[in-house]
Amino acid sequence: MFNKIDLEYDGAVVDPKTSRLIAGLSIMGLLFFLILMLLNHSGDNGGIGPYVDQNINLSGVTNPVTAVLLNFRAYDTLLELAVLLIVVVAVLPSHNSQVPLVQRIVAPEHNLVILALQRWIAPAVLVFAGYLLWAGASQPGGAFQAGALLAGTCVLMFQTGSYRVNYTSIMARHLLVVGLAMFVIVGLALIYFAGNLLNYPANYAGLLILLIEGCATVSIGIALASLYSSLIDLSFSDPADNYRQGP
Amino acid sequence: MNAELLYSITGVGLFAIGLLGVVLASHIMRKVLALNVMGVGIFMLLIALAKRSESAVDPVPHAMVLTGIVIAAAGTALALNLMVRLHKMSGSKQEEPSG
Amino acid sequence: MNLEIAFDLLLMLSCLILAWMSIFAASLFRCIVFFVCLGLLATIAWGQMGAYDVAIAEAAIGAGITGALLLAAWNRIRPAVADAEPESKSVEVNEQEPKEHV
Repeated sequence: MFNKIDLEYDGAVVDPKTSRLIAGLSIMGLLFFLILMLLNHSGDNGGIGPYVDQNINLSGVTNPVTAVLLNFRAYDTLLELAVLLIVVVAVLPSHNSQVPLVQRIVAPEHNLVILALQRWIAPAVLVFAGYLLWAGASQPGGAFQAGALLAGTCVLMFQTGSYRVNYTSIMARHLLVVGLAMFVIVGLALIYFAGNLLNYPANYAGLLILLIEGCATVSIGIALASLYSSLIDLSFSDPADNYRQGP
Repeated sequence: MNAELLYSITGVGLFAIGLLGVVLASHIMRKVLALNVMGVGIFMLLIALAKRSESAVDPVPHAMVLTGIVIAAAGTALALNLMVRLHKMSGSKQEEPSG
Repeated sequence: MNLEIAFDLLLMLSCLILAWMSIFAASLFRCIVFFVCLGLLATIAWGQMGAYDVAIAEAAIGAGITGALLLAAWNRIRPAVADAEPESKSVEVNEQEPKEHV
């Protein structure tokens, strides 16, 4: 497949068996080397886990993973949201900002299973996403898991075509950037008040983390759902007609 | 032989399989899948090392893996979009060699 | 203790086999299905390692969203694959309701 992209190559045909043998042997050597390194790895340097445990009271949350993600190494999460936003900007179509965010159209066919899933599962998943977001402070859970559940709900609602989401509308653009924007606003405000980027004061840390996580959840959910919809071939110019043609 | 060592060796094995797939597989979608397999291997290695380093679990690699999972999904979406675009441009009649 | 090690061994062995199959299986559809299975097995493995946050995220994003993305992309490039693959029984079923599998 995709051989036509190879415009320049005009040489002799490489023997595929030989190249496979070479690649297999060299990767086997790499595997052997890595396993040898693993066996010799002592693993007693401790990492930075103890420091996290010592400072967990200052972070405002009790789940250490959430503390690392949104307090101790908040730069990572900030840049990750930026990367996600860049990917969404790269794959989204750039037209049709006039169509509203959600449209309800009459689906040409009704699949009973998917309709039932939409009616019963989707609200439950929404509630569960909210629970995961709230529980992320003290238990496993948090913004990413809740955002992924939101995206899953969006994908589910997309299946029958009875709801159409326009990810390039003004509302969707605002929702896409709200996570990153809230992160940056909190960081800048902390520079003004506390003199340091993303160094939360201990009294407000839990509240600020929850605020950032809530906005990030919405952004991550919409972003992942828009990544899915970018792979479905639907243009938003005339929704009903385009849907009948199918993807 | 403890479980952490087993998991980390499996992580390295997944990485090697993914690397082999990236080198040998001919279809672009297989290459994308192979990159994802490499990612899963690296995540498994990180998580196993986080458990292995001490009695308590180190949360920093977990946070890195959480970040990495989202970034891997975003990168996969970008690669698949490029693949679909390339497929549209280069025609659909080419056969897929069974690699 | 021995049973736990046996479970871990089985889990890791099936992870490796699924990884191989998810790249080198006969048809692309099978590759995607095997990859989703690999993601779910990795979820179990990370639960075994005590990384519950990561396990939840992998189940939701790595297996769910990535699987949906891969199936959607497969749906877009499917005619070429259907030409190449002689075993088109499942593909024909898919053509009637392409949205079912995405």
